[in-house]
Amino acid sequence: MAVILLSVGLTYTYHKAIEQNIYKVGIIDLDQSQTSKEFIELLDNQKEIDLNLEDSPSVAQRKLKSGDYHILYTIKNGFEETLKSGEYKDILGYSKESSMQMTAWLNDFISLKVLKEWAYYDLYNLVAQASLGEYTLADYEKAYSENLENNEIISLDIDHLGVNKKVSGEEKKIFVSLISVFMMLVTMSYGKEVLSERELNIVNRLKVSGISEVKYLVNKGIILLIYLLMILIISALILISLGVFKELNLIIDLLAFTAFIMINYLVTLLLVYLLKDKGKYLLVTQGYILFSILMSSDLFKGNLPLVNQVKGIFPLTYLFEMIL
Amino acid sequence: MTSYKKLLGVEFKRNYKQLLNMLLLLGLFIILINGIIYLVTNEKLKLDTSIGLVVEDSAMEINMLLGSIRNDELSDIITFRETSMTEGEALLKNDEIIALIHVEENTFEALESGESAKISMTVGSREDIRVVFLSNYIENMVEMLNSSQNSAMIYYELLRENGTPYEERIDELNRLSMKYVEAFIFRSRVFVKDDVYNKFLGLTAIDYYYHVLLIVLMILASIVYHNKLEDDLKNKVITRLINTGYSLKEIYLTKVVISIFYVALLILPLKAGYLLLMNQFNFLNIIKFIPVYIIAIIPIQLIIITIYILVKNDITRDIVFLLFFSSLGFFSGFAMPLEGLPVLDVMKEYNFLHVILKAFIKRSLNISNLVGFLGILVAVVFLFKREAIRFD
Repeated sequence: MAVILLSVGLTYTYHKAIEQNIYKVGIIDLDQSQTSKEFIELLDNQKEIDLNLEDSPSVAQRKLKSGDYHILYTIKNGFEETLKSGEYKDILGYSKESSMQMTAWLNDFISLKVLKEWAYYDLYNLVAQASLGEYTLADYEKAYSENLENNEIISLDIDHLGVNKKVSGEEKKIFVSLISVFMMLVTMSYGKEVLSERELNIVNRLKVSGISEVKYLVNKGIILLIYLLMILIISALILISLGVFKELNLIIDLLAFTAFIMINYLVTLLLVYLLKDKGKYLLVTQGYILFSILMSSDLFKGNLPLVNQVKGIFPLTYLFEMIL
Repeated sequence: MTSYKKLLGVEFKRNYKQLLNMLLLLGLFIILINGIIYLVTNEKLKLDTSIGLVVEDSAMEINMLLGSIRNDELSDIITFRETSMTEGEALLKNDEIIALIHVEENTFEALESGESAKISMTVGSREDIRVVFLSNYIENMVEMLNSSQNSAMIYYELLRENGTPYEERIDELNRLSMKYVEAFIFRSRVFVKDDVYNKFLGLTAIDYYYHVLLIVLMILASIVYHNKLEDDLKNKVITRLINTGYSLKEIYLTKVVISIFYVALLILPLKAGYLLLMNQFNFLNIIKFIPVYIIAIIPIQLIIITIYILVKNDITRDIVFLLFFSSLGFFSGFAMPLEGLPVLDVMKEYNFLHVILKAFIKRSLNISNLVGFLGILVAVVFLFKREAIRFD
């Protein structure tokens, strides 16, 4: 149950985290002008920006620092006046955490929006000057909207290929990594149980009652396999129903996991029979799991000699290769 | 003194197997730090975006437009791949790029014949939020250019109606064009100088979590080391030592000294490795780090030994360790730096794990830090003397 909860929970949390709005933005309007309000509305209409208008700079700063916002913008006092006078410099401020690189794109987007407004007013000033004040802002706005299409210099066509968003490789990677490590942990603790049963002479008692040791181990292996595959199937079904996975190579995945579980079970039995002592068994199995993760995760890929040969020893490497 | 040295020697020898535990913890450290690097670099994941470019027109305007998108600030989060239409569509279908921008040959020659220059963008999925933002971004850019052109043409018409000669009108248009190109290029000037703060005590997120992990590892290694204490108590090893003339103080002091040595075998190379990676490695830095490490680990060791002695049940003890260190770690900002929360900000300054973190990364300590650290040290020594040394 814990395995299902953890693997499904973490994969789903990751899936939701990357699906949410790109930007969580706070904005403070110190100008409180018509232009600043329109500008805020303009940003609010972008569905990929989660915009929140803040009244208090100190509260907004606190929200930024506690991670509620990726970035906090301040519309400076005199925003409208500066734009209308044909200037555009230093009219917005922003605060952000230094590692928040992704806001660079949003800053660029916003500066283009401001520049568009600036150019609009800058040219109106020239028009008003050339017409000696006869050409009003209303005339300019009318002429602007009537001629926009005719004076277009660049047109943009956006086509959609109609490709459905694939199951994110990252989501599947996270799920397979989590569930495979949990499977290894369960198998290894299952081995500990075998060791305890041997210590308590349960195996010998079974032998006396006619059940051979091989039969006992095969039965245990089958129960482990069914148990772990059930966990895998239930977790995958939950993630499919939650919309995290849309397509899965069910047969290949099941075969790969079956082989993975069985090989790990054989490794566990080997360690149980070789080590006999519980302390040593725990130490070696922990080392085995750690090295399996290290070697199969491509951390040392191509960096150290013999790594590619050594990683071939660990079943986790093959599981990742087959499924991912 | 000689007999105490003998005790140290015995404790050292009977714990040489701890090296294996340290090796396992090293493996755990490598996995965790790589996990953190993955998560931190994937903070950009939402925008870590590849865009395919098929540019068949070499006009200056095109270079300017694309150069403007490919500016330095965006290069960290957007990767552009020059490609062909066929390859680009394949990349799009395989989800390797999120959009394909196509500028056909002689696009800008169309302007001379009075038509608009056509730029095409093909996107794979409508669901991808990055695609939505990219589409809006490019549309916004195009809109800005068209808007200025439209306004400029209104002005041009007015000049013509006013009887301004053709050459003067063209000169005026060229002057405006230069002005807007300049503004377009330097558009980031709309922002006042950045107000950027750092929540990771002045470090990058990876450096911060590296040091957090060093402290976590120091705690874990100490817990693992003193695991043997349970057997020593059960098997009356400590009673036998007392019978041979050693005091409890000496016995526990020996345990603390040797465990500090074993844990140092794990922590010091990791710190040295960090300094090496940061190009700050020299022996003086390592020597300076040793007293910091020793002062930091002493209260941790005393707390762990006291818990081992006080809590007899394995499971309860594990829960106590987990709750005690994870809650202190959380409120020290180990999981995520706790900023902007006034009460927690103050409490953090008195939290000894946060003080250790600051000392590890060479941040100056304030009065609250010293009070917090000395407070826990005095409390734990008192508890240790009261509960541990009177034991057996």
